[in-house]
Amino acid sequence: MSNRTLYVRAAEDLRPNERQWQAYESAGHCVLLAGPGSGKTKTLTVKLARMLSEDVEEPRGIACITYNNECARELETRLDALGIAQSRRVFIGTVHSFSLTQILLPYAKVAGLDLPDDFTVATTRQTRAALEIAHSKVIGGSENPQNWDLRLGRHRRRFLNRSVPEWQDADPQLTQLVEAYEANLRAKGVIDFDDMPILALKALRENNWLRKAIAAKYPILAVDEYQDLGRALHAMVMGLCFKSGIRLFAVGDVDQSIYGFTGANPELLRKLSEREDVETVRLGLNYRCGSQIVTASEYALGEERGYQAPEGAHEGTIYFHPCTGGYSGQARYLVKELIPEIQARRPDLHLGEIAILYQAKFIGDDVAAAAAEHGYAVIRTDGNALYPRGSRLMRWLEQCAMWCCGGWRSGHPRVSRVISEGARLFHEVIRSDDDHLEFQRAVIAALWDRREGTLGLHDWLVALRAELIRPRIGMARSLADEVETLDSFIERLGSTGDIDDFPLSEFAGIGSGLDRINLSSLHSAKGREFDVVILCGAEEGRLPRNGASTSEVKEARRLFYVGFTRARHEIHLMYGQAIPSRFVTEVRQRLEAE
Amino acid sequence: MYLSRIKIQNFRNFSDLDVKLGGNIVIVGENRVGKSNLLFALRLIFDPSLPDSGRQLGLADFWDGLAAIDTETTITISVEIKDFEADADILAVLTDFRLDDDPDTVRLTYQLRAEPGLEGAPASDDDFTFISFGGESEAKRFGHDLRRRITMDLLPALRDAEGDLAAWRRSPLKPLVEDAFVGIDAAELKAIGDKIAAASAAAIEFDEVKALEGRIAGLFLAMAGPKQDVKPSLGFSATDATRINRQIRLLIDEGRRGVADASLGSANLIFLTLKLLDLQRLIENNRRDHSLLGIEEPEAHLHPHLQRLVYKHLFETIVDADKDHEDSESDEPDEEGDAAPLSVILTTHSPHIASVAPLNSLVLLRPEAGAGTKGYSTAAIDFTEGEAEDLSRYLDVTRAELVFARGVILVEGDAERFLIPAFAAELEISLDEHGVTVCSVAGTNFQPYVKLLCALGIPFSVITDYDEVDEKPRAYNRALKLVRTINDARGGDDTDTLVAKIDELTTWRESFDECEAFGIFVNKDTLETELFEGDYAQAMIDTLREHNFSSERKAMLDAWEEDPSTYDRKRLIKMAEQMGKGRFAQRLATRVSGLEVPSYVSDAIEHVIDLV
Repeated sequence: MSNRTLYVRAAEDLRPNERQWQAYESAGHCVLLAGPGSGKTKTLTVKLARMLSEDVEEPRGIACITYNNECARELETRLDALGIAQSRRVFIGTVHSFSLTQILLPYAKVAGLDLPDDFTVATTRQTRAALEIAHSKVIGGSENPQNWDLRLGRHRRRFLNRSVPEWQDADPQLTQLVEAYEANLRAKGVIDFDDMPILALKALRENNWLRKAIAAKYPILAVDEYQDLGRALHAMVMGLCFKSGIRLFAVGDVDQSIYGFTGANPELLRKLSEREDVETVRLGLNYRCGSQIVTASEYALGEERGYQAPEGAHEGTIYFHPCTGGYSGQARYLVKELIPEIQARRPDLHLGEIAILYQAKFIGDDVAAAAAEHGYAVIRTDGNALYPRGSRLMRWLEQCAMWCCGGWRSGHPRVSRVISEGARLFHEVIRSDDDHLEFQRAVIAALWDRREGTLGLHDWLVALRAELIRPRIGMARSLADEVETLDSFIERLGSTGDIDDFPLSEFAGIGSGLDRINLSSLHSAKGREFDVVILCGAEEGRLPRNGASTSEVKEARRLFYVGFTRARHEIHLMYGQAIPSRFVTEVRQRLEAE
Repeated sequence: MYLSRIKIQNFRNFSDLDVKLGGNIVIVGENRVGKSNLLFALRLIFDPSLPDSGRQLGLADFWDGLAAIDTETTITISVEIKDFEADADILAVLTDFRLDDDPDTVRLTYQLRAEPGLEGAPASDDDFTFISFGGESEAKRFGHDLRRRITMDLLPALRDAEGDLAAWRRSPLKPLVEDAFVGIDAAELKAIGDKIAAASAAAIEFDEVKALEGRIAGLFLAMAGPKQDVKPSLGFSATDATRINRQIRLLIDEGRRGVADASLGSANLIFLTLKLLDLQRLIENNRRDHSLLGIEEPEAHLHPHLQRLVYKHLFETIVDADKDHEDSESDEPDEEGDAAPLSVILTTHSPHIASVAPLNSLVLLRPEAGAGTKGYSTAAIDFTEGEAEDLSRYLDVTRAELVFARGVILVEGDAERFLIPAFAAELEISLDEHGVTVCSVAGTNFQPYVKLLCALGIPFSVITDYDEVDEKPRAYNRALKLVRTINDARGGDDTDTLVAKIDELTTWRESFDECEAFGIFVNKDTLETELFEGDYAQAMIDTLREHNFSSERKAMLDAWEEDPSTYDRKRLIKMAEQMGKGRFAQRLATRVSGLEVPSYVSDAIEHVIDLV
């Protein structure tokens, strides 16, 4: 079946939804405002497939920028199903990887960025060390230099253009700290994550030929999760799309902007959507949440958006659970009473469809401890996770584990997929067909000998690291950080580490996600959906925090809204009985008033 | 886009070649100097029809002059490309490969080198591996993805144009016809197929034909037996609707003859026509973005007149290449730029083709002892607009010969052109044997020719007249300007000081003497008087007597014969002009035997001979 047939058929699903169809038919700059469950990813991917087939011809292509690696994977998988494989013509990735692979690696020298030769990406250890040295030089004193980390980052992102006088005047000490910190990184031959979009933007601003070149390669730029992508990306979009002729297809939701602390600002998307030269389409239907939840979600947000569930949708239920005993009390209640209750009510539901969401990782600790006590398997996605869920290397190793634990027999995942994802991970060192063949042989050899779910994870990882990863990371300039993640995970699993070693099959289970309760921070739940969502710790002092500013309260409310709208059938709100969050109270009161 | 430079190291004839290019490339040079190898070097980078096994060079491909091949020795071929921003497709393909210090130039490199980790010197072809990368980082590999968009096709010298035209699968007609048939209704094709089948059947119905068919089938069956029987029959051709297009043939002479009956020259020309159409088609259908068409010795089998006509058209109309490099910096990447999507790269021995080649396209290859073949090109010459026009206009076939010469004597007019070979013969020097050409610039504007010869590295001398006006020789400024040009071209330092020094000398003659080191030779007046006052008075009087002058003039000649010192220089020149300076010189050339060659002429000849 040709690629064309696949997306043309998929487009038929968009036709009944007038707005989705409008976005599908758009021909110029288009901003798609898409609330929770509105089918935005489907609309985006089908539209991407169409543009790639009808609007852009070889050898030019489309770049699609999204929030994190997780989102990128999701888009890749969906595009794969539409017959669109990754190629030179299609870029899918984060702002950081776009900046790094499309601008900094190919053009750092010629664009005059003055970066060290063969620079690599700094590991966390290196950035911490650089901050320490810069701190002792510029500020001094006995405080923990890492306390400056957030301010440092905010200051760097605030001045995307450092040629303005304010860069020197606004906060001279902080500016000095930034300069010392960056000089330190450069001396080690590295750049950090914040450097990537900042430097890319500088390169684009200063080199007209570079803007032309990007426009030639990618005459269309798609951006997903626009509200969370920050000012550097916004500045790139302004320069590339409205000055250099690239066509923009942006998707986002002002109400789901929850990354203010990394420089995101919902105003940027709102302003973009109000431009005269942009066709703005607002999706109105929520296909995910039950109709009750859709209605209540507007109470949660405190704004009238007019979202509706499609006709004939299920209702959905909102539960309120005032608790006692602090977070550990909530955790105990949740594990002992709530989950068994849900299982009794919905016997067919597997545990992977349940998510427990919370604002802070220490709440996750309490829930994880309680779950362990009652023998529930969990997957944790927060700051205290076994390893960051966003790590591409770890996610690939999960795939390898799944293949070793029966995947080789069942074809899930397909070995070709495991190899091609690995090859993309190591793309910097796999440059010829011969390299690819060698990599393929090494992967199969390494995995074939270790097809046993009872193997200890520690030894399995150590072996794969030695056979597959170490020989290849020498020249992989973007992987240093990922390897550090793996190293520290292996260390934690080792005899002196803080985690008990566990069998490979369990690691594979994390990869497959079945029959494990999801424990996630509200932020990490972005873009995901679950049948049942339990929102833990929805109380004053936490959501919002004590002493929050007006804009922080607003963002806390959006965070609450994001958590609320992850649920298909059930949303459970848990809080200390005396201190329900003002958002919870408002939802309850307005529901009661109906 | 256009190729702006090529560098070749350690490959076949080339130890270290580095030439600037100006878009189209017309490669000239003697046999076995490496013209085809230069084309092959380009194919290593751009030709997708060359399989990787063909890209895998071996020991025999290294330059012969290498003392030893060790693990560090590489064959490296790189080309640079400029003006690649006008077409967004080309920009998308090339942008990653810019030079670190120059965003307006892209470089593509092919390199053959020892396998990494090899112990000891490479001993067999298997010890080598090749990579293709862009820019200045080996991490930026390129491959067929690039070659599919920017593609080199080669029409080899001894190709079998007839055979290629006759075999459907190889015919350049095939893609064109197939493309043309795409839109045609299948039912209509079927109707035609049926008609052909009917006509075919009718022809077979003749008893004589039927009998023949029967005899063939019978004998085949008898020989091969029933199991191997292919059931041969007679007919015109397959009549299947989907295959009808394959029966289309190119006919010549208003359809009276097939192309197989065309002359070799016509067949080649037809082949070229079809190929060019095919290249246009590929680009129009977005199958590729730029074609580099290599043509080896296109003069083969082609009448000189046709050579000029065909290639003039090719260069001026079809390629119409990058006349205005500077102007193509348009800001809209989507606008198709001025540069045509076709560059022609050809090797030739034909002055006819060199004479119609764009001025900046010439590349001259010449072997240099111990250093392999070196290249010289006209691409980098800084001609003024007037000079470029002059050269293009006057670079006719005779003058185009100078790019094939090993040495050149530039002279003002036909008189010198006819006389100098005769003078050389007097000195027992055969200019032909030395490959030295005498070239008339038809005037005194030597400047563009000197620039051209300097750039091509061809030794030359200039013979020019003193031409006194108001007690100052007009040759003076002329000579100093030439010295300036020549010194600059040689990369000599501080031209200003040099010229000032020559200028400071007391007499004109002293200054002119200094110019001789630069190959500029000036006489004391003009050729005719110089000769008359030298050894040639009698010979010139005899020559003038061949013309039918008035009796008054004849009497004057008699008087001069009597006493040569009484001759009148103005009248002498007038008479030579009346007879025609060229014809006068041609006739005079037969009478120079035994006479002393003027010293400035013999110096100029020897200057060049010493250098070739």
